[in-house]
Amino acid sequence: MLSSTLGYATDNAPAPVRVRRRWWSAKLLIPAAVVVVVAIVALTAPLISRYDPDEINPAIRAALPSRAHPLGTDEYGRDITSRLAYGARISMSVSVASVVIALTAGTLVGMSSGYFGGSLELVLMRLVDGLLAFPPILLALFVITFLGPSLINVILVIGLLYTPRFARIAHGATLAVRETEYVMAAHATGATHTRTLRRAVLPNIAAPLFVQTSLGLGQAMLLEAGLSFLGLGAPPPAASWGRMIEQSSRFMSLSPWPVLWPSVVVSTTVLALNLLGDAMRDALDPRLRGRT
Amino acid sequence: MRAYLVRRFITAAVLLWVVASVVFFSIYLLPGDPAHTILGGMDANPTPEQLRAVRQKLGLDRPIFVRYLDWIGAMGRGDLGRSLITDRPVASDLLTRLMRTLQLIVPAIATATVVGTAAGVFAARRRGTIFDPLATGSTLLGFSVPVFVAGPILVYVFALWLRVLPSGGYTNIHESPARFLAHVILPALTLAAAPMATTMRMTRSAVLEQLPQDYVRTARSKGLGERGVLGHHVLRNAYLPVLTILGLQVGAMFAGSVIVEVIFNWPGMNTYLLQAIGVRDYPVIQAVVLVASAIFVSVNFLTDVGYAVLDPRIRYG
Amino acid sequence: MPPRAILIGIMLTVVLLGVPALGQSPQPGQPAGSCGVRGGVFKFGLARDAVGLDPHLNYGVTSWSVQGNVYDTLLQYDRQGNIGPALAESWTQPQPTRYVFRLRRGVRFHDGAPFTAADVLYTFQRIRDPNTRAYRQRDLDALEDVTAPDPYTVEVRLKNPSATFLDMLGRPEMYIVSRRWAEAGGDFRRTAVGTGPFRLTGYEFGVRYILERNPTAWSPPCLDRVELYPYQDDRARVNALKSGQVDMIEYLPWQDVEHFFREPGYKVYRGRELFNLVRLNTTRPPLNNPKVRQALNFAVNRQSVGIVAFGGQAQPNEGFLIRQDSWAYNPQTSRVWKYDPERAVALLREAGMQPQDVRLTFESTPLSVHLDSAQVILQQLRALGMQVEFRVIELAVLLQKRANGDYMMVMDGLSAPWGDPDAYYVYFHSTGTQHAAAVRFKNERLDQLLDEGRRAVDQTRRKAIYNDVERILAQEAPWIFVLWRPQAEVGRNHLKGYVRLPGVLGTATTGFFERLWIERP
Repeated sequence: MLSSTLGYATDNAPAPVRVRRRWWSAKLLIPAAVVVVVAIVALTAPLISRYDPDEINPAIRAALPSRAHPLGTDEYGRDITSRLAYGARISMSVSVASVVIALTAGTLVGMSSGYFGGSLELVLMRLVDGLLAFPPILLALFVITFLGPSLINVILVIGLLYTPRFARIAHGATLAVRETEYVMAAHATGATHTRTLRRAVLPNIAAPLFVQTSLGLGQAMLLEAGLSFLGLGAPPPAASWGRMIEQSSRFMSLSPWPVLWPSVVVSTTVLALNLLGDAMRDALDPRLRGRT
Repeated sequence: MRAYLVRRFITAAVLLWVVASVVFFSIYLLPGDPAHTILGGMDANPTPEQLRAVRQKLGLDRPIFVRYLDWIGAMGRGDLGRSLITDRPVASDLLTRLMRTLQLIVPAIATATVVGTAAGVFAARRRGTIFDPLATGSTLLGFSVPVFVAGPILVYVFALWLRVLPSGGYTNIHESPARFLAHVILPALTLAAAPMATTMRMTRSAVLEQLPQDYVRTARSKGLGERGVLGHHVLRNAYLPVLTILGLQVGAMFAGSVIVEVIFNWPGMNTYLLQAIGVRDYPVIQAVVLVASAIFVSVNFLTDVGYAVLDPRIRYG
Repeated sequence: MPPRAILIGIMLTVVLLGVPALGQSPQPGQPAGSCGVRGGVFKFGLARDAVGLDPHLNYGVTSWSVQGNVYDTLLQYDRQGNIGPALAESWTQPQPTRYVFRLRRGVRFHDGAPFTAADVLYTFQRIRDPNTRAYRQRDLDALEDVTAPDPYTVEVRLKNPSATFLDMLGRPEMYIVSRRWAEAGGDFRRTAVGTGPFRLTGYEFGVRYILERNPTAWSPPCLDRVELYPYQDDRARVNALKSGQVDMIEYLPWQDVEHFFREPGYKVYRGRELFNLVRLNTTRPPLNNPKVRQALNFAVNRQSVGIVAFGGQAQPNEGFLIRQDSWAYNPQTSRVWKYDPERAVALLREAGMQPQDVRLTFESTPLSVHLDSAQVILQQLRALGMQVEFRVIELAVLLQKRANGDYMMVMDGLSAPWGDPDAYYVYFHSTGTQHAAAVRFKNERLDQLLDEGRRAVDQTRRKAIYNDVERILAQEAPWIFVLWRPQAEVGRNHLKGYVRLPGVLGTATTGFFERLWIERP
């Protein structure tokens, strides 16, 4: 079975993790730092923003960067820096929330189907296949059309879309781990299934799931931005980066800067998340160690 | 092996039917219907009788299960119905639009594969020099920059500033291959950016995996040049996992192609669906979802087959 | 006779002879504009696909670019926006309910068949046939009888006099079709055979429409060929113009208007014929109290909405539908609203409420021409303390809500059918289907006035009637009229002859490509 159905390469068989001494490196730390910075900005947005991100001020439309407005203003005279900070909140919370949903649901589904097997596995994995059979944007389109565009619905949709990937990884990893002595020993000593799952299986399938989480965060951010671009994302005034790009792209004739800043920020953040996932995978996979 | 394949095939077929049915029922639950658009859309002022008459004529007042059975029957005959808005047969329009989307996806995949592979081999061989992270980084950029940022940038540079390529639109390839090429370059490039990165990464790691192996040393000691070593042995072995990923990428590309079609005004299957959803053109929605899912499911199925062929463990799993 | 008397007598005679008597056909219109240069290919970027070609169905403004140039109507608007001859060369109105049209001779359809009165009769018949689902089906219920005493005369008898009957004949969706072609099985949806200056010689659905010059047309065009390209996405359309793929586009987003105004080599054509409004459901509390509805009207700062949502290019609407350039305009009745939050609060108090007690649900589509205005209005209402819940709905849902009245407040945009104040009938008469009837809005005195205004013929009398209409509307405030929004096309400088029809007719201009020509450098 395919364990990596993301458009990003991972190996098939996850290896058991033995934590090595020096797993950290520049490759890991730099993107991690970027992600941390973005997260901090997202968390402290109201504190660090000088202006109300929705405050319209037509007199200073599309102003160039200045002392008052470090990155200038957008087409409605709103401070771009403040908008980016609040946008970080929305973009990050959407990606984090949806990935958490996908991770939780996917792990539960994949782990239990891999562990218990039988008809449970059959049914659950077929459901997973079913979701994967659906072209992702179409599914998002459908659900949003149904439920209406809102932040919650976007989170739900993206979470739903990524659950199968996590489920597949969890499933494959559980299958591999199920037969190891570690797990069989735990079970033999009388531990309940839940305990076994929690103590023995989960820690050993954590590694590929972590990698997928980081990659998933980047993908979720892109997907949210894409949905906003198509007009399916959370409607204004909830201004995620994607929506900022979509709105400001209408005003390119006026000034290209309001489009550039969120574009750069999104790309950088997603890049950092991808590099982070990359580095984590390298750090956690012994087969590639020594290759970096 | 055959049993496995048959099982997978049946699963795929059932899956397809389930997906199509779910979609069938759910779109009728959407508020709004095509009657308003047919009677004039935004400028319309229809009477309740006119609306009723239109709905009746379209068969929208019949109970949903009756319509479902009709639809199943029609699918069985291969009749995809007619658009409720334009009365054009869906099958031919869908085919045309699907071809157009494929005309985007195939060049994009081809570019991604060729360039990605070359870049991956290049980076693998130059590991340790500056070229490796440089190549890796730049393709990774292609993977991180959103499609709707990369696209307009390309449009700005090539269509508005240098004015060497059109900013969008479509020309039939039979009518003018040259103009078709001009129209397809930018959107295909935009679409190829992400899979190019993936292919490159995969190729690079796969080649790196192969290089230290014994048979490579043997081949080298036999006197085969670097080219021969790479071409005949390494690549052939390295390429298998990449090939299977390719299948997945085709499917994933359908997602990216939605935005590309919008930005570049490419009248493909995605915009066909988007418009149909907007006006609630049910037969078109159902047909496109069915076909798109069928493609997806087939691609997944073929990929699984490929995997089964390669990995004996799976055949009996 | 004394010489002065003779002079006065002559002058009087001249004046009396010059004034057109009631109902006589007007003087021949101005010449259609001579072609500076004959020939050339013109590429036009549409905002939507032409969807369908049936001349009696309404597919929106974009389809007029095809239909208007391939078909003709009996009468058509001239550059001043007056109704004038087209396929009907002249007409008389012997009685208020009877019109006699004299048809143009020597006109042929694109398939060669001659145009006669039989085609006009067939056209009316087709429109009135419920199976056609024609847009003007109900409007033609006003017809009592249509006959053709000879092949080039059509006599129409109405049930009641109508001030707008002639206007209606000039509208799209009243195109004259060929009876011979239709009865031989012509497919209106997929082909178009008319009498117009261009022939539809080919199209690829969703990609391109080709119109070629019809040299034997009664009004032959200057251009050789017109190619229409649909560009759904605003940015793609603008880029297509900038990169030179098309010569002109419609639906220029207001954000780009300033740019093209400044950019040499382009010309912007702009009008304000579409208006934004907020529909109020008069049956849902607290909107069932007219004072609350009036309060909302005073709570909105229309200038602000225009600045934010349309970059200051919109015209705030502080009245209803009669604008300053109309003969029916009366500054006392046609302009009543202004931004007055204190008055709004006072009105609410008269209704026994504080702003905090007002609970509303406000919906809008995600189209920026609606959403941007809605956002500003939302902010303004909330600033007063009102509790307003906001929801985004799809366009298809908006259309449905219009018909079933399932809303409380919803943002909307409309275009008046014609410049005549009879447009009020469509929107506010209690039988005016989805506008008033859907929310069961009914004011009997208003209905009476609207009926009268429709039938009256004397302009002074009508003005008085419609001013009374406006007085009632100011009390009832069934809508929040917000602004007239900008609608623009932009083309390369070498394109000549494009003159936007005035007032509410502006969007119909793209149906008259025969007046265009391209200047060679």
